[in-house]
Amino acid sequence: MQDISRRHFLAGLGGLVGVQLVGPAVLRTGRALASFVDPAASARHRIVVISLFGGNDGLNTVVPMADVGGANRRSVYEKVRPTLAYPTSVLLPLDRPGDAEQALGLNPKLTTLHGLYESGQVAIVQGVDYPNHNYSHFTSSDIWQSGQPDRAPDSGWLGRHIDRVGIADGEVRALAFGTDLPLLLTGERETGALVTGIAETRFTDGTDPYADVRHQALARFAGSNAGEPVRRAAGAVARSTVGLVDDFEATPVPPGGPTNLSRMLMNARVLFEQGLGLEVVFVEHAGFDTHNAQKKYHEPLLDDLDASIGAFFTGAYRGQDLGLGPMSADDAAKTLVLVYSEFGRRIGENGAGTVTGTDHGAAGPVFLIGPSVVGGLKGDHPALGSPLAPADNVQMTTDVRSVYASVLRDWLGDPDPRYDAVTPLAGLFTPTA
Amino acid sequence: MLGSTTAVSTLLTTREDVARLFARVAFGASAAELDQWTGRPYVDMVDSLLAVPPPGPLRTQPDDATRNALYAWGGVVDENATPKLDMIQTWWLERMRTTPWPLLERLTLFWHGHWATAYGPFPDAGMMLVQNQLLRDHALGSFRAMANAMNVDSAMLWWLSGQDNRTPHPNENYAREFFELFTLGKDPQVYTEQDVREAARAFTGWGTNIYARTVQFDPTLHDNGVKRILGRTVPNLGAAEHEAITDIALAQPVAPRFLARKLVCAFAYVASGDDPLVAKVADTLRSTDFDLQAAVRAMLLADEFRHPDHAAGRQHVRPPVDVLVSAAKAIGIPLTGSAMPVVIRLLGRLGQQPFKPPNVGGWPMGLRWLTPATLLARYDLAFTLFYARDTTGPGRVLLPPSNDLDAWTARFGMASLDANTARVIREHVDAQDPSLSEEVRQLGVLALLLTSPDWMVV
Repeated sequence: MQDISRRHFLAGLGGLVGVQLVGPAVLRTGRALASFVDPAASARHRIVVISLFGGNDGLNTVVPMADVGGANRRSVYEKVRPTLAYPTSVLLPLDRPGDAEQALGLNPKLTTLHGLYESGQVAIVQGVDYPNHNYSHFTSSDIWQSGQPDRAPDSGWLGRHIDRVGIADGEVRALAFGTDLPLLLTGERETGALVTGIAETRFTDGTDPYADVRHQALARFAGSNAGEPVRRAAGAVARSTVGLVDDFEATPVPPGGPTNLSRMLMNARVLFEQGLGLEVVFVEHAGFDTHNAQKKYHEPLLDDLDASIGAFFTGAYRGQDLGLGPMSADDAAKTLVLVYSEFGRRIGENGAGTVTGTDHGAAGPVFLIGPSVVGGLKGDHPALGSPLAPADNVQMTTDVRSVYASVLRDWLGDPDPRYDAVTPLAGLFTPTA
Repeated sequence: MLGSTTAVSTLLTTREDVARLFARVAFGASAAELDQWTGRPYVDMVDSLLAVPPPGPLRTQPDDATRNALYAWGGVVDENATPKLDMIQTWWLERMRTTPWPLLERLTLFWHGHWATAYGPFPDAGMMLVQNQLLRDHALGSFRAMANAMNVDSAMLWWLSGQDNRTPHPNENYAREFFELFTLGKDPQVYTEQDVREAARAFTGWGTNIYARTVQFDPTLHDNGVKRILGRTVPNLGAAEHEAITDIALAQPVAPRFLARKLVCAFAYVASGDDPLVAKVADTLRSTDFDLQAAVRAMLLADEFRHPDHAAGRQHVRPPVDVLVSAAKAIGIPLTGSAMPVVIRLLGRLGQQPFKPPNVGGWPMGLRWLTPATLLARYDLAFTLFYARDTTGPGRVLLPPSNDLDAWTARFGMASLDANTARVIREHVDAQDPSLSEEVRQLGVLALLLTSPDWMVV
C-alpha cells in the first residue's frame, strides 16, 4: 500500500512529519488483514515496560542491610532516615551466590519478586541513571524514555526499534495503555498504538448494518483534502481507530484485575496471545512522588506492583484467580518485564514524623523479570558516603544506555545504531533465550 | 486602557473568525453568534468576550449558591457529609456550559491545568473549589497576584506538600514545581538545584486548618535564615517571604515568554519558543506587569492568532472538557442530570477530568489529544449526549433534519466543513435504508460531526 499504514498513529509534533496525503480509505478489513500477520511474529521476544512514575525510592526498594566490605551503607541509611529506614528484620534478604558481599534486602512488600529473584528470574541492575542528571519528573522521564541524554528527546528507544523493524499491515506491534501516548513508543516514522483497554476498543453502537455504515464513514474522514496538517492528522487517526477496532474484534475481554496496573497487564497477556504480532507494551504505574507521608503511600504502590507482576505470569493476584490461568512456559520464556523509574529519591529524608518523605533524587535500580533473564545483582549498590558525611544523592554506577543496548541487541535482536559507542551490559539473558 | 489595537483587528469579521474565536476561548459559538458578529469589527467581538465584570458583586452568578453550599461544610471531617469529586465536577461543567462569561471559565480551566492540582480526598472538594475561585478571580487580573495566591492556597499546600515544608528539613516539592512548571520553565532552565533548595527554605512555615478552612503561617516552622535565590539575597520576611520569591521569579527574562508560550499553545497552536505570537504576548506581559487580560487580548487580536489563511491556521486541537461543554451547549443538554456519572467516566477515557489532572504537569496539548483511545471515547460521548437529551419535556431538544447539513454546522458553531467531511456525512445519510427512522439518521450525523476533524481542530 502506498498510503500510510493504519498503525501509524500520530502523536506529538514529530508525528506530523510523517503525515502524507492518504489514498482511498481502508474499510473494516481487519479480520482479513489479521490473517496476513506473519506466523513468525508469534515467535518474537516480548517486552513489557512498567514506568514507576513520580520517582521511586530505590533506596527503600533495594535496601542496605549491613555495612560490608568497607562500605557504610547501612549506617548512613539509618542515620539519615530516622523515620523511613526499614529495620533489617522485615527486609527480604537477597542471598544468591555472591550477594553476601553487598548485604541487600528487598522491600517487605516485594514478596513475589523476591521469590522470582531467589529462583533466578530477576536481574536487579543497580545505580542506573544517565550523566548530568535532571531532577524534573518530565525532563528525566523524557530522557529515560528516549534513552538519549545527550540530545533532544525526539523519539523513544523502543519507538526507534519500531521504526527499524516496521509494522506490517494488521499488526499491533507496539501498544501503550492510557490516554496519552508515551514518548517511549514514538519513533521518527512509526508510533505505537494507544488504547484504554480491550473493552474500550469496541464500537458500543454495535455491528448492525446501520452502525457499520457509521464506522465506514468514520474511517473515510482520512480522505480529507484539507490543506493543513492537523485536520489531516485527525482524519488519519479516525481511520486508524476503525482499523484497530477491527483488529481487536476477536480479542476477548479478560476478567480484569483488582487494580488498574493488574488490569492493564492482564489485557496485555490476552493481546500477546492473539497473533497480532504484539511485541512491546508500555504501562504506567503512577504515584511514586512521595515527598510527604512516604510510609503511607510507598508500600501500597510496591505491593500492587509486586502482585500485578505475579498475576501477569501466574494468573493470580495475591491468590485471587483472575481467570486466565498461568502464562504458558513457552510464552513466559519469550516475555521480559522491565521496571524503571525516572529517578530515585534523596538519600536523606525531609520533614519529621508521619509527614516525612523524600525529595527528588538521582540513580535507582532497574528490574528485569522473566524466566529468560539471568538473575542476580548486576553491578554494585552505589556508595552512600559515610555517617559523618552522608551523600546527598545515589550516584550512577550503570548508564541506562548500556541496559537499553543490551535489551535491544540481546533480547529484541535489533541493535540501535545510536548506541554503537555504548557497551551493552553483559549477561542479562540466557544464551538460549 | 487595554493596549493599542493592531491593524488586523480593525478588519471586519468573517464567519470563520467567529467560529474560530468562540471555539478556542468560549466553548463554541451559537448560530445566533455566528450571524451576530459576522461583518462587524473583529476587535469589537474580542472585547465583547473580554467584557467580564470585575471579581465581586457584579460577577455574581446563580450557581454561586450551589458552589457555596458545596464548600461550606462546617468543619466536619465526615466522609459521607463531604462533597465528592463528582459533585464539584458537575457543578463546574454546568457553569462552563451556562455562564454569561464563557471566556472567563475557559481561562479558569486553562489556569487549573497550569497550576495542576488534583482532588485527594485531600485536598478535598471544598479546598478545590476555593482554589478554583482564586483562579477565576485572577484569570483576567495579575499573574503576580495569582501566583501569590497559589503559593499559600490550601489545596496547593496539600497537593505539593507545602504544609509539610518546615525547618530544619524542608520539603522541596512546591519550590521545584514553582520554578519548573508555574513560572520559569526549562527552556532554557535558568534556575539551579541550589535555587530550588533555597526557595524551599523560603516557602517554609505554612499550614492548613481543614476544620476552619484557613491557612496560617507559623514563624516557628519558618527558616529565618538568609536565602540566596537566582542571584538575589532574601532576608527573613516571614509570612511575606513567598511573595519575594514570586517577584524574583517574575523578574527573570524567561518568565513572560514561558507564560506566553503556554497561553499560545493552549489557545492557538503548539508553538516553539521563538514563535512571533509568543513574542507578542510575552512583550505584553512584560510591559503590563503581567496583566493577564492585556496578554489574552493581545493574543486574540494578533494576526498569527487569526491566521488570514484559514486552512493553514486550523491547528488548535480542542481539549476534552471543551469538546464536552461545547457539544452539550450546542445540543442544549444540561450537564446536571442522571447521565453525569457516565459523562464523567467518559471524560476519564478522554483523558481530562476537571479537578483531577493526571499529575502536576497538567494535561497534554495539541496532537496528543488525537488518539484512538480518545476518538472512541468521543464517539461514545455523542451517543451518551444524544440519548441524554430531553425529547418530551419542557426542555425538549429539536435537532436539525439529518439532510440539512448547513443547519447542523451552524448549530455547532462551525462556519464551514471540509469538502470531504461534508461528503462523508451526506453520503452516510444517503446510504441508510430508506425505512430507517429519522432519529437514527440524526444520531449518525451527530456521532460523525463530533468525531470529525473539523470539530476537533479549530
